[in-house]
Amino acid sequence: MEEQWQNASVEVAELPKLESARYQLHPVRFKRFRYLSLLLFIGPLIIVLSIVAIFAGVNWPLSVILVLSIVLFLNIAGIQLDFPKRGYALRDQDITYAEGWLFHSVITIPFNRIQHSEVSEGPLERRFKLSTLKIYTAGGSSSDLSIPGLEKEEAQLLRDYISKKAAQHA
Amino acid sequence: MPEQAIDFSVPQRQSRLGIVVYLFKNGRATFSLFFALVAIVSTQPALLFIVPFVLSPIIIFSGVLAYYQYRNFTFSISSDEVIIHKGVFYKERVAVPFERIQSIQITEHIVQRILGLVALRVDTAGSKSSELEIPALSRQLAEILKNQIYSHKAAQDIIGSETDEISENSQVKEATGRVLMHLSIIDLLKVGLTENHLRTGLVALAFVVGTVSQYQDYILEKYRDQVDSYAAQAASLGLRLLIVVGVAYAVFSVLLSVLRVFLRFYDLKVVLKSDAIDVTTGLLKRSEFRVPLQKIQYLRWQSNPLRRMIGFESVKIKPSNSMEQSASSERIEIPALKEYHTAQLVEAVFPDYRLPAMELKANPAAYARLAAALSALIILPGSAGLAYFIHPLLALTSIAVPVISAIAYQYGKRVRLLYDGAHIQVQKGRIFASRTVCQSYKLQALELRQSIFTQRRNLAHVDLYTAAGKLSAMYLDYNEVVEMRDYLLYTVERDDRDWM
Repeated sequence: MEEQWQNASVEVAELPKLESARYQLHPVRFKRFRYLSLLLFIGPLIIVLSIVAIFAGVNWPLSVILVLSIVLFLNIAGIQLDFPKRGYALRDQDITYAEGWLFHSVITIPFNRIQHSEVSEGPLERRFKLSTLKIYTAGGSSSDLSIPGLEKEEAQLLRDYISKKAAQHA
Repeated sequence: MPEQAIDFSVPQRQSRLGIVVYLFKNGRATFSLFFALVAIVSTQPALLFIVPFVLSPIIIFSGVLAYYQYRNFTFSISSDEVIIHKGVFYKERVAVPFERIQSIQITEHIVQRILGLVALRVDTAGSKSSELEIPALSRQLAEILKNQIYSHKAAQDIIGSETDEISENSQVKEATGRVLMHLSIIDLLKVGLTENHLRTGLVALAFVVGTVSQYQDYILEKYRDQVDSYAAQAASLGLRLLIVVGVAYAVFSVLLSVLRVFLRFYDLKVVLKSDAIDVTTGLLKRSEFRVPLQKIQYLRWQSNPLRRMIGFESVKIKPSNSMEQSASSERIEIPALKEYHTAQLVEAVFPDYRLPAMELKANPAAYARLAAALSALIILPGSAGLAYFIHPLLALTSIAVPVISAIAYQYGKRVRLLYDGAHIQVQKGRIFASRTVCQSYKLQALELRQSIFTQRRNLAHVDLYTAAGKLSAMYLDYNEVVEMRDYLLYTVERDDRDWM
């Protein structure tokens, strides 16, 4: 296990730069998918509250609806502004996923640290012909990565590529 | 029991006394039922006669259940995995391949201790469901089993060598452990007295408040008169009472800390071996941890001003583990390290450790700004309210905002991330200083985070994930962080050593 390994000095300027990697954006319908899932979450709440407000003749649901509407609006703005900043970058040795507009995060997982990967699709995703790629690392879920909103074939190709790369190192 | 006579390839039963352990385990349900019955009977004594009718079948049932739990539980070691069979109504087979084993722990509860038994647990890197526990073994058998599993594992880890030779070698290794520390009662007392009493006290308070509020109605109902008269007396005593209560609370917190430390760290013994660290600790519940050095993801030293004064630091050893087990791995802590202990520990875990060459400093002003914004949001409305409704002078409480910001600035000044191709060290804080060291190649993911605020100031947060949790630092220079990311990814990606 403890093989010899050298620690030669490395020119920092010559290291491969992640920033120059090309990011692959999601298909545009992923935006619609996110709008719809947001609406499916908040919409029923607003409808129920409106019914309560109308039939019970009380006022408090109106303020809750106002708050929900603001949340809805912010989320719509978030989805819109986040879209051009969201995408994955594949390199020879690792995969990177960037997301978020207000809070932007870029997470990179080297292939030789991946335990396994899988493709899944929920009922709503299936209607949009989208898939989610999940990448698992060791030791709990904190560094697991899930990339939603991929074309189905794309997700499967990615999974196969990643499994092959991960197996090379095992 | 003669050591060589046991053939673990044949399924073995646990100690017969295990029936008692199971009886006790099942007993918890019986106990709560028993108390429910007592509660019912205490209100309606006429129902007393039902007690034996309800209780006796349950007792018989749990006895029979315990017997079959014992009978159906067998364990064995095959050529490549540890296997247990168990279950009464649902038969279950759990198998853990040697290569998945992270560590083996021997623990004993008070019941097991009385019976002279121990539990042996095999931890894996996977989920909770894949871990394996044998709850009732004689200590001797548990030790033999543990060593057998380890030697099987070692034989499998090193492929292409002769099996016999290796298990012999690992036997030799077993013997040549070096005691890093054996905590004396005096040191234990010192540790107890230098605990973070504030935290202990708050935890106790939260517990008391939680418990009392559960039974509030009941207690108030019964002692209404007394409570009222106490309240009246208390109001008349005023400040004096406040001081008495404060002192009592402080004393109580300290006693509780000492008690907790005694329960947890009594007779703590740490042995460094060539391939593992053995930790034995605990008063009522004695635990034995063995962490293979290879599995250690990072070490985290922590201290507080009291501890520092007597030259102690505590260290947490984090092996790769699943999330569900993080609670138990949290327990691998050595509370009283002197400087020379630390030096020995570092030498054992990170053999050629040097302070990493490259250093990233956090921006302290950013910490101060964050603290100012958050504390202003919480404190200013509060002190405005106090000033308006009670007394204008209470507006002075808003001084807390600049004070908190200044503390945050000092904290931020101490946040450092050091890295190179071999190690990473993260340092934080001054009063409750901590530093975390891990080997660079053990990283398994890297995350950079920026909000629109930090983006404007060209700052970023960074999370370095290992198989045992993450090392993180906030408000570092973005360009430096990007450079670090490229460097560390390069390091990890060309290193195919086993990292967990």
